[in-house]
Amino acid sequence: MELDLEGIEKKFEEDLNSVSSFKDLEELKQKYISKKKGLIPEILKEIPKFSPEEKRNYGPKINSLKSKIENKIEEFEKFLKKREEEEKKLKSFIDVTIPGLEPPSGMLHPVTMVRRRVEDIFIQMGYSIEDAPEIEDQWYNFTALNMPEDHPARDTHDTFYLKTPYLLRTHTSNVQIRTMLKKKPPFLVLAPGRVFRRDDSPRHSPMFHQIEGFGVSNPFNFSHFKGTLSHFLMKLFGENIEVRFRPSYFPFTEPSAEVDVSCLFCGKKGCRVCSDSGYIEILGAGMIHPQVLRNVNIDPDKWMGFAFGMGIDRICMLLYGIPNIRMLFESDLRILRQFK
Amino acid sequence: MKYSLNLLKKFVDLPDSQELFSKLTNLGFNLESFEEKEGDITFELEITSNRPDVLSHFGLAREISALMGCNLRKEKMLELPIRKDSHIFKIDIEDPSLCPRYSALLVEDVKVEDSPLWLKNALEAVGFRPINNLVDISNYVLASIGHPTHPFDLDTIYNNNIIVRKAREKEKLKTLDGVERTFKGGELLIADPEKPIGLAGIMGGEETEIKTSTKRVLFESAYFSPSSIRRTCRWLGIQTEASQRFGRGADIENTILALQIIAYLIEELKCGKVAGFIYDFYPETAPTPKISLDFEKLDGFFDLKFDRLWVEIILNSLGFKIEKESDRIFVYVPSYRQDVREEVDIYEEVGRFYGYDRLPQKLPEFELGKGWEVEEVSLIKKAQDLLSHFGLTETISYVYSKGEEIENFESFSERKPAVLSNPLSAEEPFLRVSLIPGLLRTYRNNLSKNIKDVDIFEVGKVYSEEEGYKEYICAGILVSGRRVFEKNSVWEFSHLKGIMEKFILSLGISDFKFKPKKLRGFSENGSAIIEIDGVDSGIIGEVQMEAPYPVWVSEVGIDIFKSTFKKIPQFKPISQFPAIEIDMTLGHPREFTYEDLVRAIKGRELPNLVSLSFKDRFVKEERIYTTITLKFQSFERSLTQEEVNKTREELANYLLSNYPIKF
Repeated sequence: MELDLEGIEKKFEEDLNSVSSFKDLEELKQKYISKKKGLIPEILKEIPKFSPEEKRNYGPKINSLKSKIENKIEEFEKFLKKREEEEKKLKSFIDVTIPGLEPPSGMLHPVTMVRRRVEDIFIQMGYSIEDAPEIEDQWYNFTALNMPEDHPARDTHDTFYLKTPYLLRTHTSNVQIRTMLKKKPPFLVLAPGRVFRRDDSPRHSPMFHQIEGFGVSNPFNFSHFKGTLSHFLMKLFGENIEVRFRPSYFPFTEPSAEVDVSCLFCGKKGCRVCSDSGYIEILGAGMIHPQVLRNVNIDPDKWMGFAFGMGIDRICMLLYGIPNIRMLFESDLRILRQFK
Repeated sequence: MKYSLNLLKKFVDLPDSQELFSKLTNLGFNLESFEEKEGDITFELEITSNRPDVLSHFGLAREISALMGCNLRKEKMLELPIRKDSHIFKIDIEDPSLCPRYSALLVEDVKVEDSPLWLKNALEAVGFRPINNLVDISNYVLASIGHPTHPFDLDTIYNNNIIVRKAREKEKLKTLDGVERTFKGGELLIADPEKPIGLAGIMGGEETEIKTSTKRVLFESAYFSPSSIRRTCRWLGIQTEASQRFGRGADIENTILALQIIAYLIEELKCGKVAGFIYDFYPETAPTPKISLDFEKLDGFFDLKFDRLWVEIILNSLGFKIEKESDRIFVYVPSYRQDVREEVDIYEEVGRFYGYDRLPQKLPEFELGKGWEVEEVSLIKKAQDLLSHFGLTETISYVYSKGEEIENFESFSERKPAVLSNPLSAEEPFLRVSLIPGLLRTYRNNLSKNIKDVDIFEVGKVYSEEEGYKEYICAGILVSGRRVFEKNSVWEFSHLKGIMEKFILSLGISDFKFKPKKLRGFSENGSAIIEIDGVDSGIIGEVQMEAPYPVWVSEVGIDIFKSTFKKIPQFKPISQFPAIEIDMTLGHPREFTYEDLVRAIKGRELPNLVSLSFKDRFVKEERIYTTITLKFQSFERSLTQEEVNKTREELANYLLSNYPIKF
């Protein structure tokens, strides 16, 4: 009887080389050392049929092949086990430097965020929050604010008109009139809102947002007016800024002022944002004109008031560094989502 | 206005230019730009509309002299007798309320030629183009003292008769700028008996302008009613140096002075023979307002004790005359200060010259009253917070709308759109009645930049015309594409509906339903009206449009929540005993909705059923199968699986025999 033990060994080596998993290894065991059908046990079963010479010749060789195969399988099993453990370790390893997954979080529009910031500052100072219609009777938007028909300031407002006497409010100052007619002084009021001007030039938008603030009390004077606005501007832009009050003109305040802050970008050295002036205009303001108080039946000899207005969009552009007001309303999500 | 330092120096001694600019800004004349040029510095100041008196070098010099406490010098002039008539020319004023004063100076034997260099330079410095000596003199006086005058070629005026009257409809005039203007009627004109010869206070006519052949010139120096000038400018869409000053209010007492300076310059430049008089029509002298100034009130107004003498000096040097009484003074307002009419106007002058920045400042000590926040504002804030917490991004869109945007989309209520009488674009005369078109614009805008994953909301007002106009607050949502926070998931109807349900519940109303309805502008696949508290208050659905992913929108009117959004959720007891959940899969036709299914089950009033919820839905053999999870729980004891199974079996038999349901 001829047995090609070397051939079997060679085949086994080949098979072993292609093993890469426990499953392959199990198949290999089945093929070579399984008690039922394995190749080696099959050969061992044949030994009693061998001649004594063949027994002497093949016996030790078969045994040594058997233990060789068993050892190799066992060795390989150990290797696989070790590899599995290593993989497990690798799998549970946390690379803490990989960025996390974003949690569900929407966001408010930058204009809303700035509006709330301003509201918060004034609420801390005891202000109440008011609102008024956007489609307004011209009496509230102009006449009562000391801008009677044919007043030159009306021309500068680029008003959108609806059926007489209605218009889209050109400023939030209509809230002054409506509030003063329904509440008795003293009060401090803040009124953020949307306003409209018929102006579509590159630096303007036909719709924008303002915050109106006003107070009526006694005693109430110009120093309170200055104190309030300086405090507000430092809270909004930081303690390091310089606040400047300059005389100006609004029909509904007297005296009137523009309130500037030292340029946030160049620190008064002069740059593109402040048009080299070193200052950025933030507020239009003043003491409420006595005629306005008379128009809403408040006695200007008993009460004094101040009022101020500012563009939210502009402040928003300054705080977030947005170069163009139109970007706020074109709603490019690549831009809006930046301000999370 | 543009000023020249050289011309300004003629009237007042000046500090160094940088110091001057900062002083002017502090006075309320903001520096816009400046330029150094050929031994001069020219600069632009922003002059507010209430201060036409500063629209001249002399006017600005007056402010500087008051601030610096130095002398104010005057222009040289030629004094001539004033006469109320002339045998050479005749002036007729139709309505003196529109032209309360008209003065004129006749110059004969004129020699029209180029101006001398100094005059040309002075004019060019402040932005005037030199034309000829006579026109240049008129413009120089404008720059110098701010009063507009106009030279007419008297020989082109019929009968030497000037008439100031209103234009008749369709009358025509070719103005100096070569434009032929047709009037709508009512514009104030300078005319002769035959034809219009100038737009009063705005621009002269071409026919009567100064030519080299001109022999006799009549200089007009008048005062026109500001509102009439502004109205005409608005109608004709025109703005000139003259109209700017007359429109805001020139100085009625300056008409003679302007002509006296002109007379002096005519003689100085030897360009004609000045008649021996100045004509003046001035039937009613303008009154001088008198204001009482109470020093104690002034001190209280600024929280500062002012030096009274200093106050008087400042007012005096600004041209206010002062009359003293014990604790107050009376202030007489000069004719060029039409902005000063009340005591506070005087306060402003005092504050301005003291310097706003030097005035004291402090926070008010305020007695805190009943603070408030109007409901609308609080509601809008809550709505914005909810929707952004649901992962959506807030947008703000324009309120102007096209007619087709309104027609294309059906909403939960028919609103009559408000129409602008002067829209920016003729295509968009309407104000929005819904937020959805704006959201769709934003969506398309982003899609054009290849942004397909959109999850946005807007909370804002919509408008309608009814008993005047009404405003409604709405919340709108648009979602489409991949969900940013859930990998491999795309926005579906149920996501949006879930947001809306949570939104409505969080604003305090639990009585709402989604009623299937095919809405105009929405896809066949499904749209619905949202009924809240028995009122149709919103819509939801897929927009009918070509897009990379389905585009889902929803909108609700949120005014309905004004009375509920502050509701505080109330405690509900919880059971100590375990709950048992079982699933039931029911087959039913398409028309039999999930809501019908729920109603059928709830109709049974099963013992211990605490909730039922939707789990899954699939289609098999043309039938829809819905899996519902039923949850049973008792407050008294632990339920057994057997009793729950029994309940389920009973329910199944009931449904099979009473509804189009199969298992």
